[in-house]
Amino acid sequence: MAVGILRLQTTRVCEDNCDGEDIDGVPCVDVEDPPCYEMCQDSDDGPND
Amino acid sequence: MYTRLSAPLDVQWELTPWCTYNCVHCYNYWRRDERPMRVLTEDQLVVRRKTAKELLENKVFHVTLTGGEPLGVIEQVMPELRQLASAGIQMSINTNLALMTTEMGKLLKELGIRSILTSLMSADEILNDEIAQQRGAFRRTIEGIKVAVSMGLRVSVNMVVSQKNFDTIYDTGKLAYSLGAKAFCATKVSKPSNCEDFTGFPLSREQLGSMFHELIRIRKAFGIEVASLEHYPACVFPNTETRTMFGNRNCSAAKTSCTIGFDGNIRPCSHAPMSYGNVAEQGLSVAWIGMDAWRDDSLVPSVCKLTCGEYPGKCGGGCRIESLNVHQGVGGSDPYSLEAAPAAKRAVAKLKLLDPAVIVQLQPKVRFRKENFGFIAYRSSTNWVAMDSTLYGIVVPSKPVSVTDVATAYQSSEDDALETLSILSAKGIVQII
Repeated sequence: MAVGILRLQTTRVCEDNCDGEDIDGVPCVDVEDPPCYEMCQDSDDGPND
Repeated sequence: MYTRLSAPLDVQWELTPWCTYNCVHCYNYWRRDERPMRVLTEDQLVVRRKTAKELLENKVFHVTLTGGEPLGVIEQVMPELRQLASAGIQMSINTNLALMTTEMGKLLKELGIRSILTSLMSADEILNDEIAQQRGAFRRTIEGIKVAVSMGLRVSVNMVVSQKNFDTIYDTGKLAYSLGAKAFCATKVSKPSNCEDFTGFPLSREQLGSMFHELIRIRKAFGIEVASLEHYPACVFPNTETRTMFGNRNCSAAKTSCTIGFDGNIRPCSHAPMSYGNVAEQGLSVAWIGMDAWRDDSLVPSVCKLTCGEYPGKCGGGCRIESLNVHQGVGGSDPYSLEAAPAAKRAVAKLKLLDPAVIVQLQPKVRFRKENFGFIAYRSSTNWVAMDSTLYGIVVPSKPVSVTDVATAYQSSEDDALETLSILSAKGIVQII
């Protein structure tokens, strides 16, 4: 279990989603929720980044 | 239930109630009142100044400029927006692009804005203009997209999907792709709070499932990124593929975000009509604290809390405002909810661990905010982490950090320390050197 990183109950408990439901692709920690009516902006070549 | 942060991470700021269009599905509750004026009055500018001050004082990380049509007033509000940009607040904009010109594009770039979410109702010009209730809307938005794309701005096209344009999802996605959009979003229409009779607009649950499948078809055909910009209850997804792709949004209202209206009223989200205070009176902090009901379990339907098993880890219980707008109250069931455990699972990949010999360093664009539990480290609206003060003390000096450094500080195993650095790296908080 990671140290120093706090698992706040702000949106989802992401780690819980990982149990037994794995597919290849986006790391679990990348699936937190952007707010409604906002497009994700987290790609390396994305905006403001 | 949900952690109350010291302030929102992201704020939707409605710069104006004025708009070039008058879309029939618009959730802006004031829309059916008297049409507002484009030019902001001095009193309205005072509210904008106060809003900017509150955003700065509360150390909000990201602001989405919205409206109404924000490009209609952006020149008037530039002094305040420059203040935000100078303080390092990230900005993006939701605009129909009807007023987009190269001059507007330069203003956006000056503010550091590189991302635009625009709205297009249909690839069918006549239908689009009918929904916008404005002749020429299609042509203006298409031209605006072209200008934005030509200037290197990242454009995402959102289509609000109702019964009226349901049959044109694929063609609209294809059009967005052909125009150079980086992403195409289809989002179901929601009944506006002030609309008594919305007959003929809402999608059925089956149509909502079909909308998700259409998005997947568009992605496969054109390779364009697709999304749906709402939180849907987990039980609405017809299969694992759709839930995996579109079930990643939860209700962020009062948890990580809120909306500041054009009148300064502070609301849990842009759909919500209820205000918890005004920036010019109570201020953002008081209103934010006042939204505690959105953070505890009190607004979540009992069927979600007690019988489903997916709340809160895997589902937020649907949209509270959807419930409100079908007269079930803000604590009722989302009208699309099956009120049963979902049939589809959500597939999510596990964290990919870094090489144990990795050395990382703080990514220079990361910003921090002190919280009562430690700090928020923020890179973008989807890439942020909460950390304790010890970890903050390790990464913030911006010196090279190894797995051993972390393990020593926490007297932990190196496996646990590696997981920490892997998460920080995946979130873009640190970079491998």
